[in-house]
Amino acid sequence: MQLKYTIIGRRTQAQIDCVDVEWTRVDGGDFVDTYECPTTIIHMDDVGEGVLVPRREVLIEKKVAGKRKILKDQINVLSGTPDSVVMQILEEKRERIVDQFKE
Amino acid sequence: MNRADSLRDYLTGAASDGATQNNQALSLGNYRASAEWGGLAMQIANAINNITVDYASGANDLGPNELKAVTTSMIQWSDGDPVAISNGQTVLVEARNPSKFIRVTKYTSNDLEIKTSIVTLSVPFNNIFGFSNVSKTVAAAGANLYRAVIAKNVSSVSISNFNRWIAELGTARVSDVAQLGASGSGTLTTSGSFDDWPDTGYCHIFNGSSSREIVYYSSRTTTSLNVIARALLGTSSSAGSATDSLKSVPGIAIAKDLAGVTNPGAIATIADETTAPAGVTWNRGITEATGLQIGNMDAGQQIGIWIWKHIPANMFLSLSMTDKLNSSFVR
Repeated sequence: MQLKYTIIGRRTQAQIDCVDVEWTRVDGGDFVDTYECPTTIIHMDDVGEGVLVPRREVLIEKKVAGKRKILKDQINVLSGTPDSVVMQILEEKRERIVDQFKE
Repeated sequence: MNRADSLRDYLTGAASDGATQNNQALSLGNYRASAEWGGLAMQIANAINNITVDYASGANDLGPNELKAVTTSMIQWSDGDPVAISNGQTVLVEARNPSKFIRVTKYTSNDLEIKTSIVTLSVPFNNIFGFSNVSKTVAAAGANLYRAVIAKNVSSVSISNFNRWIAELGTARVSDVAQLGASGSGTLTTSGSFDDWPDTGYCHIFNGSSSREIVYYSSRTTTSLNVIARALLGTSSSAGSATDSLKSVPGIAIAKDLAGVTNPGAIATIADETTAPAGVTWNRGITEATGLQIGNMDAGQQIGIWIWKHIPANMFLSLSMTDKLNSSFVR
């Protein structure tokens, strides 16, 4: 019997200058990682293989060149405490997030 | 019963066969690591109690898939047949197409709750095949990056006709409107449509069945590719023709480690991710017949496979650059 086997992966290639960007939680607290650009993704794998975690939503804001703007998109949180979260930017949100970033 | 799960890809960079090494970016050869490539990324809604989904094969359909507990001790994946699972057991749960499967472990003696959960599958970011995100600096300068995996026959029987090739990412088209010149940037234009191609990426140009050249396009329209980098991944520039076939491909080549198919052991080691492995023959084939021909692997045997990722200078923004490889084997 012939069987097929597919292996696949992807990455983000960012040319946006992220140096002046700060991501902060509107409701306070810090992210687990420092976000260098808006397309950074943290995956389910990072919270432990096979671990099911609650999904919550938070609003985040960005600061570009000293100006703060709250992103209207909500981000699914994979795990976290009031002080830190591990989040995933859903694929369908990513384009819009970057569009807002460019404004 | 392993079936399509007979063959597993592992990270490398371990100090001995099967030793712990979970860093994708340190998968630079030497011994097989304990960590697998990881399968598709999962989000699980309405999860079934008392089980975990350990792995989803790359052949599964992306997007939502149903995982059902059809009785208190049987689970069903997609359109496949129900499979019994007991406490402490890890089982292969196949869809009707056996290449589409998940691995599930039951970790308590409690009954399953009869329900349907939705497992949403997506292409993982930054795994061993996706490589790390590309920074602005690297995107400007360009880079060649290398990693190695070890594919192992984890079943108890031999497999044969193991082939691996680079997968296409969009529908092949013909450059029947405009072609590239002998060198330099230019435009490839088709009377067809590039709408299912990545917004920016790589094109493998074929003259009949012969590879002509791999190029990088920084942007595209429905009918044209704006090519800014030529002669990539070991190919050479040459003027195109109106009958050339254009294939959407990831910007990678693959090669067998010089050790070939062996019992568990070390493969070559590279000093860092930018050092090419010495002496290997790179393959850019996009079909079963033209990809790597690995052949037979007895139970427990392995093969080291190198991946060369090329990032051209002045690469453009992309939220999702995909690398994809297909394999087939018989068992």
